Amino acid sequence: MGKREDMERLHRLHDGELDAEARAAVEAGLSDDDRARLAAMDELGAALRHTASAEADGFDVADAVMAAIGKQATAPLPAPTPITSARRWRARAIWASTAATLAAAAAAALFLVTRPAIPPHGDACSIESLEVSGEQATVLDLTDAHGHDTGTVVWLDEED
Amino acid sequence: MDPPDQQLVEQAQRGDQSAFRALVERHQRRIYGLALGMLKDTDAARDVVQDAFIKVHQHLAEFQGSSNFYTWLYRIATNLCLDRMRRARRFAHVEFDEAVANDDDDTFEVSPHRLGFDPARALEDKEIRERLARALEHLSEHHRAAILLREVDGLSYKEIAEVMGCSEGTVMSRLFHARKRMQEMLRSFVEAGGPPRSDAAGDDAGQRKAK
Repeated sequence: MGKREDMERLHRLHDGELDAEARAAVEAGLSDDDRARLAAMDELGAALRHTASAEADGFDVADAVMAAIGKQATAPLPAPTPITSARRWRARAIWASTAATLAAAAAAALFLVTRPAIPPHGDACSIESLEVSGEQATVLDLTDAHGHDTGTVVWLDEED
Repeated sequence: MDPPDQQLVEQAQRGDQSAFRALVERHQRRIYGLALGMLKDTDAARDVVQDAFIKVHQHLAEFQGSSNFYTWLYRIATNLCLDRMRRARRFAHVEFDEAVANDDDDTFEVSPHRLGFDPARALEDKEIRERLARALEHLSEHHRAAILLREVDGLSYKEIAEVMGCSEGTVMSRLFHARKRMQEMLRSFVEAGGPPRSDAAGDDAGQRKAK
């Protein structure tokens, strides 16, 4: 068993995190140093507990908490803010921009649904092969669906 | 016999304010102990306790009882503390946190030597309290929360994991490191004859890093 595992078991024993069987097994194998380590852990834990207990002694915020809760429960709802001219125009602008966005989205959706299907274009590109400085190259002339040139790609095949 | 939390929660959910008050009275000192340990500032700790209970009240209707009420309360209070600590984090603490995070000694080995504290004297012994406070201050916020939730509040690893929103393995790692670091810090205070000044935190972090 490694040192780390031994120490983990010791901490778990101190914290009451071992079941009865594991606890008995660990306790049976404790060395004097392990017992001293447990005592040191007990000492630290007890010091922390006593300090916290001493500092919290007499602490009481129940009245303050209940008063704050009561205040929240009885607080009047904020009065509606009067709509000023500027706010009215800002609201109209927000509505207009939202409506415009929705209209654009609807138009795009309509286009996608109703556009004619584009048949696969058999001559989307024509390919030629040629020699370039002793190496092989492939030229691809790219065309769109209507046969218009859209670009050319020259692919050089490098030889190893 | 005092009614269990769940019963008080159900009464409070039906609008019984005295039931909610009973919950506040039952848990406020434990939450204050945690907040004070985390924040080291009585006013800030008091604010956290009040804010935590107000928040709990605001969300009481959403509490389904699938976890313990106090685990839920601790989670809210711990998060409020962590938020405050992050806002108030100082350079020296960041340096030390890095030292802790980069600690490559992950054996979690605690010293077999006692520090010679008499815990029962903590109430009257200001020096013990000051040493513990300084040692806690030198832990990262998550390490600090882990050791307080375990040692002061007695939460199990599973409950701490729930409160901190992490795995039990992470809880163990944070807790074991925190324990080891606390021991080291307290020993250095004892050997040096007292707690370091808070403005020496950065130097201390540097020494640890270089070790």
